[in-house]
Amino acid sequence: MEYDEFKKMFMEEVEHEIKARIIEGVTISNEEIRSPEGMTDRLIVKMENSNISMAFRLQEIYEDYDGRLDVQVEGLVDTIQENMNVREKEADVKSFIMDFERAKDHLHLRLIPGDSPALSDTPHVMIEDMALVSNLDIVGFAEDGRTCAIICDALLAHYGISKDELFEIARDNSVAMEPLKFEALEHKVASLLQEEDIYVPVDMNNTAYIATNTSGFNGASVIAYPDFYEKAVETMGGSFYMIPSSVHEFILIKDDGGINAKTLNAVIRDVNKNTLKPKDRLSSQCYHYDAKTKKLEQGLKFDKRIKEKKVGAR
Amino acid sequence: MRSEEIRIPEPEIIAEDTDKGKRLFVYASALSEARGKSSGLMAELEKTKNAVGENA
Repeated sequence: MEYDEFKKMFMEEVEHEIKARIIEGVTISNEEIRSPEGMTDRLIVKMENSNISMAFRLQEIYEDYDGRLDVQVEGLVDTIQENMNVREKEADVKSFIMDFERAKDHLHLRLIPGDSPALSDTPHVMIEDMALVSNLDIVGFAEDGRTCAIICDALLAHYGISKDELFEIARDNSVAMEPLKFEALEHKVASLLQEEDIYVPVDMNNTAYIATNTSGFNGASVIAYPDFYEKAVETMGGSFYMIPSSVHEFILIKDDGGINAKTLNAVIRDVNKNTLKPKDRLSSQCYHYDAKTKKLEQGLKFDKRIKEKKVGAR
Repeated sequence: MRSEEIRIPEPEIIAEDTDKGKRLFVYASALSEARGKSSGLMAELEKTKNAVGENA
């Protein structure tokens, strides 16, 4: 089934289910809204007497479709019912966001794609083609998952602090509460798969490491921690390539001459296209960090420079 | 500026990262292949590839 056909049918069925369950004061619509990863097609659920709405990613629902539309519809309407109390919490959420004294301890760094439409009115710092923003964790709001809000220009002005101060607070909180963590990629994969009977060689000669924070949530932002590159060089034993595998982590590959940026970029594009959910995408290219010059640059630029240097030396 | 005049950012509820295992497995596998070698662990993990796709 094509996406547009699915969307039409899905929305009709959701509307029907809402009526069947006699859920009052709820209207649904379809809107394209601005998200950190780009514009996204959403099913919007608006509630009477509330400014907060629920916004479900239709493309992801379509990708999960396995022929059981009824199951997906029931699941979504269950979620709507479970979150109807959002109206009661609305005032609390607003006052939390607006109150700098309460919010300041919950500001963290977050790395998002550098072409995100959210950046037009958001204080940010570019790191190559990615953007570092300040993210507010709204505590005690969602039971499943985390509730966040990216700090926009208007809110920064309301807080009465500078952009530098905002990022300093977010960075200090992140470093203190979500410390940097490195883990060998293969060990991590094995532990995540929970395959106890898998043979794990004693000496795996690890050349790939995951760099993230302790919770593994929005962990790609660790590259903005003050001591990140120093610790990464120590872990990798020298220069390395950085793969933006998702907004939650980077994969670091030792630059031992065994791989190049072109190959890595092909892998990244393939995973982005076939495996990664759009909301988790960070970038479509790798980066390189030179341990000697302490320089971060796009992987292709580094490879080109090295190639030219070699040609010039002949 | 009075607080009620500010358009606050719409909070987003982000589900926990449940795709981590699948994503990292795909990367580990692809990188191993790109380097033209497969470690003992990756060879073993390859056997579970289908299971991951089904369970992730």
